[in-house]
Amino acid sequence: MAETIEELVGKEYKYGFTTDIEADTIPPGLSEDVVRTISKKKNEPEWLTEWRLKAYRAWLTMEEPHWSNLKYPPINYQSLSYYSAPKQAKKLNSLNEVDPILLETYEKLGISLTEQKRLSGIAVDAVFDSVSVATTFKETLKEKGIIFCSFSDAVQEHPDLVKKYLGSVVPYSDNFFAALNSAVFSDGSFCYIPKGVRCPMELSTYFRINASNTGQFERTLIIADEGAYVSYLEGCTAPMRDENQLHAAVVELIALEKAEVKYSTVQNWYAGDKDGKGGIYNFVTKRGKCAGAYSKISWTQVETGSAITWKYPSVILLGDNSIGEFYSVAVVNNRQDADTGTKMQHIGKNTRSTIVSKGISAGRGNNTYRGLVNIGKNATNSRNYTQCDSMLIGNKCSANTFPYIEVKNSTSSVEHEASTSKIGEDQIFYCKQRGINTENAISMIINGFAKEVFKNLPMEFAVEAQKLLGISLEGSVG
Amino acid sequence: MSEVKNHYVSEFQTFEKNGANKAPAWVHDVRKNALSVFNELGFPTTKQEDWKYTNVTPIAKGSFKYSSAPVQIGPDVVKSFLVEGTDQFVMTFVNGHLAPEHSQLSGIPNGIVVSNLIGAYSGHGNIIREYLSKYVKHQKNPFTALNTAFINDGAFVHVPANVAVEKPIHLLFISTKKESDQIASHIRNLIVVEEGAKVNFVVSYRSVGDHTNLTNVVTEIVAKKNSLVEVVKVQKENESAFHVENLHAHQHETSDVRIFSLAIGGAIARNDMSVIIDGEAAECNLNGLYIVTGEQLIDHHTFMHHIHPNCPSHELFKGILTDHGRAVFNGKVYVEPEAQKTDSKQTNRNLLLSDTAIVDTKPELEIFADDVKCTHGAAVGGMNESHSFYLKTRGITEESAKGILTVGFAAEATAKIVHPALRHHVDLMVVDHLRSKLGTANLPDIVHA
Amino acid sequence: MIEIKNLHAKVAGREILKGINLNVKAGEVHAIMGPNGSGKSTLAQVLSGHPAYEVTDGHVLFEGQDLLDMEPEKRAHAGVFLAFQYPVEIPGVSNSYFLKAGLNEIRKSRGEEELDSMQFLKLLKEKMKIVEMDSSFINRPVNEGFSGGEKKRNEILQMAVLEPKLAILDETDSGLDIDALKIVAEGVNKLKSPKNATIVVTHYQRLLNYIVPDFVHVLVNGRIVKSGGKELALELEANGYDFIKEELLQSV
Ligand SMILES: Nc1ncnc2c1ncn2[C@@H]1O[C@H](COP(=O)(O)OP(=O)(O)OP(=O)(O)O)[C@@H](O)[C@H]1O
Ligand SMILES: [Mg+2]
Repeated sequence: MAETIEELVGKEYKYGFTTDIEADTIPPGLSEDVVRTISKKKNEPEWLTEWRLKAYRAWLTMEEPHWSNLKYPPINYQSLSYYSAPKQAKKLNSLNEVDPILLETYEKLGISLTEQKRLSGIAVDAVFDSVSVATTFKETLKEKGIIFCSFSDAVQEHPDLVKKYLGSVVPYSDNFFAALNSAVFSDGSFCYIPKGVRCPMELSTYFRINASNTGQFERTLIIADEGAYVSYLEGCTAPMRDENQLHAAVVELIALEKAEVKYSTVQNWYAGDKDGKGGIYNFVTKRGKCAGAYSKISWTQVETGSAITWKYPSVILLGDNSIGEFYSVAVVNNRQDADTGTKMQHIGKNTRSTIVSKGISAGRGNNTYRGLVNIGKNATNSRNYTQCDSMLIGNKCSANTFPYIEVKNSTSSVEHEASTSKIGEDQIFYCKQRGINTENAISMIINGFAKEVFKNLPMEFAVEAQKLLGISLEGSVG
Repeated sequence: MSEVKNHYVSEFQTFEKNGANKAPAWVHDVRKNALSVFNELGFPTTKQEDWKYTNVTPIAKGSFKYSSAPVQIGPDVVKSFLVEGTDQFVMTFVNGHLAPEHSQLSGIPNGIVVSNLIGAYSGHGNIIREYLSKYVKHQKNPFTALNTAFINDGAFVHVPANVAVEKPIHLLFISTKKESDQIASHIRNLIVVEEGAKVNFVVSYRSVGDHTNLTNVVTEIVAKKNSLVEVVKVQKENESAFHVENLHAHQHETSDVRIFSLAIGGAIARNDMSVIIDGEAAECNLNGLYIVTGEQLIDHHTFMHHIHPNCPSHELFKGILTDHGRAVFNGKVYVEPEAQKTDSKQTNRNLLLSDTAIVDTKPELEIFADDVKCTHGAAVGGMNESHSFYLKTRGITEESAKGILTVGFAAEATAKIVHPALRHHVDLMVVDHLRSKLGTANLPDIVHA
Repeated sequence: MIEIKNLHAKVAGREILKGINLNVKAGEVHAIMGPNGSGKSTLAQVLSGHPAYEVTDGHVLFEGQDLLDMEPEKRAHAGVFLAFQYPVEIPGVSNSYFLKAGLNEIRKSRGEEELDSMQFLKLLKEKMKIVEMDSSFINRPVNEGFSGGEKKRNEILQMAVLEPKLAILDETDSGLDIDALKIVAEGVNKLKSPKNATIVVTHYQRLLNYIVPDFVHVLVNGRIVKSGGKELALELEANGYDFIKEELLQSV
């Protein structure tokens, strides 16, 4: 039975191909000059160049954090290239100008950038290595006043918004990787939903690392103005390469009064091979701020890729009656190592947060949930509920749970529950007794285990996520 | 910080010169080694993960001195600390020194050793040498290093194979004021329970007076195959006192160890309680209750280490907090790859009765075996509303509902104590303490089913 | 005894009771029946003052007093008793202490002497006979680990001890075995007097064979849509709620 399960969890990585495209890549190394070069290439205003330099200087004083459970060899930050962009016409006027090789690449990844072919429900910003190559449905969104574009375009076209919110949730000095990102970030997505607007379609960014020996440092900034709503999806893949690649992104979400931001991720970076060779080092800082009363931020993540994951999508519950949510499925197999979780900082009154984390460990994988629930003195009548379950498949893997709970007033309540168990023999037997074969029984059980999280994903994504776990609802084992 | 260290180095020199030379030569080596470890570590800071929520600066800043001469206390005081209504063997220590006049050890059956450590070196030196400082590691814990550097006296208990000690053994540690000094008692206890033996302990830490002393204890318990050991720790020193204990139990196969910690005293009380389950089908129950009032800080750090298959472990720690009380709980369950069929449950529940109390809790699981059932839960909150509603529909007022539910909350923890007289002793102390601290005289007694 | 007028109540932002009118006089037994989720328990909870339920309109007079204005414990002192559909478990609090505390508060409010432990224990043991409960339950924590039926018996035991004026029994029959059903019903009947009244919420005619109602009310979707004598219960048992729903549709 063990084989079947491992097969199920460890399907072949389908997205490991590389794209041959000429790229503008700067030589490896990091210095103030490199930071200036990046800023100049992007034709950035002075204040942003300065901001990057401040971040760089802060980074120089910081040390790479080693409090996590992750084990990886030291990263040589001078051996990486900090900018790589596919060569193409400087400014794209329409999708037709996108290099066909790129369109083909995304097509191969199952992401069609041709609007006609797209399900009309999703607008996509495609980020190839460090640069946004195409954004679909821009015009449709514009009619509603929604801004959805690459970060670089936003800097040029909406500098005021960028200046106002950049670093307002994750300051450049927040942590080692955020500082690095702030210094060298290349592109990413920008999104602004005006007052009272419900974004009519899902917005999505698809990240692709292609070039070798480069780091990817994208930056996403999403602002939902008063009463606005947006659902945002993020997907990622990378080629199979023998060396490790660094990905250090920053995502900032801001929800003003009565606004809601839903952010979903299916993270499927290359995880390395069976022996742990290659794969992405994923060090990501994601944080949302419920700035206004009655606002809501919800993170949903399905983490199946990367050799190393270091990621804690968090919510600062500043506004009274605001709501934070974190739903996560993290799967590790082979030699993968994931240290992920969330922080819920309750500051406003009557704030609520929910954390549901499902960890599945197989092979020699290590899976760690690390979370913080902090209920401040003034966050009266606040509530948190945390459910944190781990499933182990095979006895060479591990599952760890490190929740920090800090409560500073008596009108609030926090409840945390966690369990670790192996896939239930009784459940498998029960299914088999009803005529279901082992493989299907296992996929049903794993699927059921992760269901609470999947049900928070938009439909299309949920299906992809289930497939990623090697699970199909029809019962056919992938 | 180096000033602080110098204080302990010079203390150590005085200590080694007078009074501490009764120990055999190997103990001196252990001490010296531990002192150098302490010198390296220094007192912990809140930057260290294990001490994140417990600031021991007030302890580090105090210049606590080793007390060589014993202090006299009255027999009535000692009597008031004993377990009511039951026969018990009593061994009393005052500021870390055996007080034979307050001990009651006559009638101990042949073969069972209940002695102070110093007194046992000559007759039982080989057992002490085998186990002292064997399982407790001082390399990482500065307080344990300090204790080991100052190893002098404490309790030594040895229960031979297949002997059941009928009466509970009461190890009573009293701290008192001595002139103007702040006294440090580095108490070292060693309990070795051989195969198939059975024994119950109550270990009390009490004070006479309201002075600021440091009680820094290391207790090592070895439970051999098939043995049954229950240890009830009662920590009720005065509210200026500092209390630190590293209690460590090492369990062999099919042994059954039950530990209960009642922590209601001290300004800062830190309890490290670790159990290594080093044998198949051994069972451990590790429970506790803390009541934190005034400006107290009470910290429990537990560590349950599963090495072998088929071992159940259960932990229930409950806390009641009021005023500016601060509680810290950190419970780690570690399951090695070989420890299949581990069944481990850990629960930490905290009842907050004031707006200014603070709880930091961190239940941790580290699991490396797949066929296990491990759960933990932690909860922090005020009075359970559906419970108090139910009581009110039966005519009970808000105020008494609060009292009844608070006592009930505590009773669920004390119910875990198996020895009836010891349980009763703890129940009385709990209700007494709650009555005085909550200012409600009208609290029910604890009744167990 | 109790007069409910146009009672509206909300829970979790949703209106559940949409104008209940009901009068119960001393000596009467009223049965309330109705489909799952129609609001029967909500009515019971509102009458006993559960904080999660918000009364949005209407009023309730209990022996001339405004019931809705009173704290839950004051209602209990006044003589309102609710046997819960799902009694909570309270670890660590012994059954007997809990009940003694309640009884003495109630006695105090009536200006009666409090009972000491001995007197109380004697009373408790007597009452336990009525519901045929084993004395081992005395010191067990309130409802903790009790089976479904044991919890229901415990509710009736509490009623027997507290001797309320108005007892509201919310599905006290569900989860009881046949013998227990008789025991509980007999218990209720023994406590019945011309001075007190009972509201029985149930799904089954069976219980009403033992506790014979003077009136039967059907609660659908937050309103009492039909009232009648004890025959109505038989009719419902035979036909289900559909015929009433149909009647309702026709009358629209
Ligand atoms: N605390 C609550 N939060 C949310 N909804 C509630 C709550 N209490 C009751 N409800 C809802 O109110 C409705 C009425 O519930 P109620 O318990 O009164 O029904 P009932 O008539 O007693 O049903 P049953 O016959 O199943 O016991 C149901 O739809 C229920 O889900
Ligand atoms: Mg009901």
